Amino acid sequence: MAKLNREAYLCYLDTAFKKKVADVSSSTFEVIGTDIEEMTFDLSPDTERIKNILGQTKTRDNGYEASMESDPFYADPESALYAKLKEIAFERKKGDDCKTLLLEVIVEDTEATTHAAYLREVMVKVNSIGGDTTGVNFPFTVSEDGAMVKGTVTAASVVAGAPVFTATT
Amino acid sequence: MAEKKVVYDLDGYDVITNGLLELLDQFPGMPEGEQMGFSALGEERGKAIFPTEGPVIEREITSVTGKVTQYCSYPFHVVYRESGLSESRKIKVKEWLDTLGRWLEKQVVKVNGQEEQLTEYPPLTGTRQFTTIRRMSGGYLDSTNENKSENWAIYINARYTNIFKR
Repeated sequence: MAKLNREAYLCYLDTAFKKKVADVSSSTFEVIGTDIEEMTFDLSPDTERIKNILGQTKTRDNGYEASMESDPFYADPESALYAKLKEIAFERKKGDDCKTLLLEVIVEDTEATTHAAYLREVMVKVNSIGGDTTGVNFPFTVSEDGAMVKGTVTAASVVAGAPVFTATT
Repeated sequence: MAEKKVVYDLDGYDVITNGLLELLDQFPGMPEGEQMGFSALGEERGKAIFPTEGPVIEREITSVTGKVTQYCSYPFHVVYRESGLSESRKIKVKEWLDTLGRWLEKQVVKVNGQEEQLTEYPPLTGTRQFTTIRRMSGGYLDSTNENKSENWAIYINARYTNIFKR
């Protein structure tokens, strides 16, 4: 079986900045990474290995501290996401003002009518403003911050660039 | 060491050539009623562009979303052929080419006593867009023909992007 192209894994941010996965029906998603050659959702698993008195090695699993850096993100006045990032950066927003939803989509079969998707509550923080002469860069970091819901998106909505998420019941 | 393979933007040849001709015809120093030619000049006089090798894809980036950005360049000469040039006319021809080069670089230039500046490169058809146009040389006497007409030239490189989804 052929391996998936990188664009089979797509990440979108909710530009309506809904805070809860339950509010996804009024979300508007914008894909991230259009100017990035390499972008990784770093899961940062937090584990520690301990040796008990019986001489056995055990692994204590403290979960994940997942985050993703999106760099560069060039300012585009026509982008709704840019408008939000600009607010966060210039107004030094914090806490709930930086919370939104992240939608991860994995397209395993381009002929399928739906694709697997994961909706997460996340926090978005802009790391810096400026950059080189290529354009005004607003690199940002997305960190998990709450619930996750598994579901699907329709293939047609992905092609249209506006994924519609349905939670799996 | 292995030679780097040159990749051409074959589909971009016409788009860029036509875009350049359109742009060069907008040069305020272009005499009224005259048009920039392509790879052909009159026996005695004329102005034309001569691409050196066609549009080359210098770099290609595919983003994680599948968006492809090709960074391309299209090097060319503008040749100004004129006959019976006195020393002062030779200087004027060279100045005309230098002024054209500066204008293409979006510098403020003086043409017929007026300050002129190109603010935007014209849009191209499709997904290509000029980014920068730079002189690679000043104006120089390239050659003299049998009929004593002279070919003055300037070497210019037009850079552009081609953005599309693969």
